[in-house]
Amino acid sequence: MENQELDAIEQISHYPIPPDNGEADTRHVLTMLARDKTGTLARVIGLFSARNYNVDSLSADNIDVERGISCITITTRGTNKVIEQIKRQLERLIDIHCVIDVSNSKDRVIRELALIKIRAKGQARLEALTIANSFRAHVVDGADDTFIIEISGAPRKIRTLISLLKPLGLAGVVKTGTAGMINSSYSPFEEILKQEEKS
Amino acid sequence: MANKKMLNGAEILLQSLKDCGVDTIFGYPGGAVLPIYDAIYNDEHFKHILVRHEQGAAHAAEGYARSTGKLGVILVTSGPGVTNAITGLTDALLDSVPVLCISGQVPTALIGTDAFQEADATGLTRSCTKHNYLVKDVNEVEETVKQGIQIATTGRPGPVLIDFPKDIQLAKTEYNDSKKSYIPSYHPKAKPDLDKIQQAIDLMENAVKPVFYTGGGIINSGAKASKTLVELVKATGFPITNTLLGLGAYPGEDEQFLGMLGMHGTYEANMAMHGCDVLINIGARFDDRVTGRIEAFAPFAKKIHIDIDQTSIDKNIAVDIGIIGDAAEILLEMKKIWDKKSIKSQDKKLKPWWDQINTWREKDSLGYIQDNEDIKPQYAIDRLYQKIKEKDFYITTEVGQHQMWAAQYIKFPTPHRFMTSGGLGTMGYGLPAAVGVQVAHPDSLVIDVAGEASIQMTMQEISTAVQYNLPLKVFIINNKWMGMVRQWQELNHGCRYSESYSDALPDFVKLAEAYGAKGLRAEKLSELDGVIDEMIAHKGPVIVDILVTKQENCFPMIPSGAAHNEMILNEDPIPETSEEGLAKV
Ligand SMILES: Cc1ncc(C[n+]2csc(CCOP(=O)(O)OP(=O)(O)O)c2C)c(N)n1
Ligand SMILES: [Mg+2]
Repeated sequence: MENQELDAIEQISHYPIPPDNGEADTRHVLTMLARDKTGTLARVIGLFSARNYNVDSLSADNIDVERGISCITITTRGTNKVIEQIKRQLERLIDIHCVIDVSNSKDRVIRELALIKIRAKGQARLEALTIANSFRAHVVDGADDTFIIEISGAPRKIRTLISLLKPLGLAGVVKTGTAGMINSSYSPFEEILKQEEKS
Repeated sequence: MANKKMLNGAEILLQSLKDCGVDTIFGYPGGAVLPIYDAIYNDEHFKHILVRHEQGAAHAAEGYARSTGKLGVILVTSGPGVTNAITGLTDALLDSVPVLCISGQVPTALIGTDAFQEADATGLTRSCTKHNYLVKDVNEVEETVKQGIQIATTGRPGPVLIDFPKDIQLAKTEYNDSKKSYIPSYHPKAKPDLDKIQQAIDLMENAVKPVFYTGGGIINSGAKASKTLVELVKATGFPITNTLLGLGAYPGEDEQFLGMLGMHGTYEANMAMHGCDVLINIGARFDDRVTGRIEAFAPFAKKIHIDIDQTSIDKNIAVDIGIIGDAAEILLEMKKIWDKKSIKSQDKKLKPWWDQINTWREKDSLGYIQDNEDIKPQYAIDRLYQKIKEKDFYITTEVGQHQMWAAQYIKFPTPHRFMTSGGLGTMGYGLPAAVGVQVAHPDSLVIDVAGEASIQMTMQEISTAVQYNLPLKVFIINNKWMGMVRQWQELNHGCRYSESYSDALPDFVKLAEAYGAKGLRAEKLSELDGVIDEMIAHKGPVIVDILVTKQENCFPMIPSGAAHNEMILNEDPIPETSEEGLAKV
């Protein structure tokens, strides 16, 4: 919207509109360690929709069944201020132990896994296999006219592979969502275990 | 097994509440909570207040909690019971009130089958509670209740809901009597950063135009916080303003108090906010009703923000020093450092600032003219205050102009005296809240300052007051308009008064009598004092209908899209009501 239009709305709405400082959105991978309770995931997702934040990718799974700890990873976009607010809002949730902004570290490892189904015969099939090969993807199942390849890697690499396979008979894609980790000596998971031992 | 008694889930719930110090419950029965009601029937310990609507239960619990600093507890049935309570839970979330809601649920095996009176209570309340639970095993009841209470009452307080299926209420187990509830991922009390406190004091020491801006966080933090705040304000000699929810944390009649700030705050409070060089926010959240236009908010100030909730800091307004922690703890630390530094009297340095503030005060922004026999609403509230100020009084309000006038004209000497719906702005809050306040303080004077429109939203709770002989007073400022809506339509929508006039109103005096309460009315100025006296003197519940001038606006006011220094005052010209505007009234 034009600035003038925004001003006019502010004039009559009785709500101050936060100033736009022109800062662009950046993409962030946020990893949360959470208590594995009913509703934890719903609470996280609910927070994103209620506060108008973006969810570009989501993955969640139990990482310590005995202690009931799960890991939720969300890829989101926003200005630094918004990302900081998202982190604090998430940390305020009762069942969240901690939130780690993986994108903030240069020692990050960010990976996805995808299963890709190709429907192709003859030359197209050969070409698809060659491309998959060059991406170090491998075939995990094959049938007469379709086969499935598995690839893991950085999100961009997977996107590229998918776009290359598209004209050759792409018949389906399933992705796990992003997983991210920082390779530093500090480990939030160990911290939680230590804390639990103490109490 | 041998020496421990087996209890059912309902009994375990009551025992756990008892262990946590709960003795009062506001509730309404229904099929899915009958086992709990059955357990209460035999229990001498609990005082159960039967409300007339579950929204009323929630607001009553809020009133109880806010006037005591303790937890408020409500008990409602499944389905419509819990959906009716949702407005009150949301209200408690926005105003940080510790409330525990126990809701009945259909038996576990029927959850998800659209059973009779089934509603997804945890789903519905996920975004209006601080936390919620669905209990799936009778062995979890005790722990869940104790955790729920811990969550509701610690850190930034808020509502917690526990959804309790009927089969679990009936299943039996032993009571463990566990003393501590531990939630590994919940850390409500951050240790404040001492370096930042030191930096804050340095800023304050060098300030020439400082102002304290404090909110409900002081009151929630407890008596020590208010006491230390007063000491610090006195030691520094700084001026102080309070938010709507913070009123009473600092004595309202004190010289250093500038009154409330924000949209309908005093001229001096808002001008001080605009002109200050150091702003010390403690336990307030830079709410949009307070900030006005964001770019123009306190443009010359270094900003210090102290809050127990990390999400409040830098959310609406970027600050220079943000300190996360409990207000009382941080205030004590600030006071200690201030004293230790033996900072010499600031009086001389602050004199020009106080001189400036006093010229703003001379504007008398709360002034009004009561010139004939028609009662001005401001005058009615002012008179009410004059008559109660020496008494032990508590005020609740509904929402609208009367609410703002109550906040402007009634001065609160101590915290916990003023209960109003700030964040959600819930019409219908005041009467049930007054029920809760009066239950907690049976011998005090409890008054709901109401509007004729708001009161009709939860009117039926007067019946609760009659049943329990709660001598609360409903003081209706009757202008026949949804006055606040009319005011905005006048100022922002070309005087087109769309649907803001109540062409039919009940006779509030007869209504009071129909409920078994006392009804009084003042139509002329000469009747006002007598009616207020009679209201105060009457030992039971009273509804008072004060007919006031109909078109009064609430001033001063920060208009939409404006800054603190662009307030409109009472004397400023306002547009005439057009023929077109009134055509449909
Ligand atoms: C439940 C609810 N519905 C609507 C509103 C919007 N609203 C705010 S003030 C107001 C008018 C209140 O009228 P009244 O109670 O007579 O108070 P007055 O402003 O006249 O003093 C309305 C409709 C609200 N705050 N709450
Ligand atoms: Mg009205």
